[in-house]
Amino acid sequence: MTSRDRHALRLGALLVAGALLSLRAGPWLHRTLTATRARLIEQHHLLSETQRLVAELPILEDSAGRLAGLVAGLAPRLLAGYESGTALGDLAGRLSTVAGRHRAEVLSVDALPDSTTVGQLGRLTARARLATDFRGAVDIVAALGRGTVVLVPEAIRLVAQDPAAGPEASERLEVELLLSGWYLPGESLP
Amino acid sequence: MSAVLKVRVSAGQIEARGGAASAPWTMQRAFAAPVELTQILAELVQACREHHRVRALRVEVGAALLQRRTLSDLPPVRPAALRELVARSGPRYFRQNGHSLTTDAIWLRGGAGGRGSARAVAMDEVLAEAIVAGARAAPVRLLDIVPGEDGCGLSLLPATERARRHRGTMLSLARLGTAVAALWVVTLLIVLALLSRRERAVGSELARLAAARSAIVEARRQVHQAAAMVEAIGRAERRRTVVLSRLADTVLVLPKQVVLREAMVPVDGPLLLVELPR
Repeated sequence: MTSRDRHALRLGALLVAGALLSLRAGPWLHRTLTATRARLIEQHHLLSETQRLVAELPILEDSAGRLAGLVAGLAPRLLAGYESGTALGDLAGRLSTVAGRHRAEVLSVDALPDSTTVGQLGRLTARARLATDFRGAVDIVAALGRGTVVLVPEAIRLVAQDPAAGPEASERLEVELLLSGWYLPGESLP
Repeated sequence: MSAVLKVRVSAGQIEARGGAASAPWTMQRAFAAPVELTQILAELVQACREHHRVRALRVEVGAALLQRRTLSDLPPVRPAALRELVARSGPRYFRQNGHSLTTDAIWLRGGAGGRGSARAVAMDEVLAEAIVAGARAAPVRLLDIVPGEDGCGLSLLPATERARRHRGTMLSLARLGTAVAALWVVTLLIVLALLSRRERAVGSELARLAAARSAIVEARRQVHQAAAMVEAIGRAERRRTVVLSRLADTVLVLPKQVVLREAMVPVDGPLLLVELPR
């Protein structure tokens, strides 16, 4: 092998090494470095976020303590029942009790579609029809407003059962109440 | 103090000058044939080294050993191509007498742009090879072989030496390039290793905090839910108060002697009453 051959071999090897370095190793290294750097930045953000969360733990515990008391106080203000059917039953029972005290008669209580939820609470909306006079209707609504369970009369409609009756006839109204209240689907409060 | 030994080779004589300007060292020797020049040159270097440090050798060739020409009507080529052109056309411009020649040429002022003139010089290649061999035998680094007097910019190194030096330069460049590339690769690998190490450290820290993080995130979610629930019930209570107040106002404005036929008490809309006199 002459020195010229050796020179050619060396040059060829150098070219191959250079090509491999620039076309394969270089791009691979660049891709790997970029990806590693991106992952590291992402992990750094996650870590700093986690450390911030851990640092805020005392504040969170304080808030949770205060909220726990408030949430426990919610229980009496909710309709009983872990599903809308039982909550509707509770609402109908309360309405019957109030109606009985104010010379009224509950004609029907029907649930209306309502998918509103806040946290773990579900809202129940129902339409109740009662037969009473004007005073009775006002008293029933007032009694519902004084109750511990939060029932909101969304709308009240009064219709005279006999509009043609004379002044001497006793007043009979059909009261249609649109009521909403909250209940806790599931097992227990958080 | 210069460490370059200057040697002037003229017809049958070789003169070496070295040392500092304040204490110059000189020696002259005669030679009969180029083949003696190798030995004499090596001896001169060794002799100078006994008095002074010699790191390099610069050889100046006297006019008697040179052929000088001023060439005109040359094609406008670059200096390297001009050198090659003159070397290939040696027999055309110089006497050869059966010897190979070492040549060089440079453009004279204004020569490169158009058809100008060039200065060319040649010497026996045997003589140039003998000088190179002498420097190698000394051993000392040969800086250049230049024509004496007005030989500025011309070099009479033999073609083999030029090729060897060119290869050396290329090899050095290749080594430098390889070293730079290797340095880059090593640096990038170190950076990659450091990044990976840092990534592992951050990953293990995240893994350590993962359970705490999940618990905190869940607790935050529940706290937000609880706050929303408390707020919802509070809002409902406020709404109930508004409705009752509105209802109370409605009752107060109703005339005493009316029979209601129909009434609508929407919470947010206008009050609608249809009444009949009792």
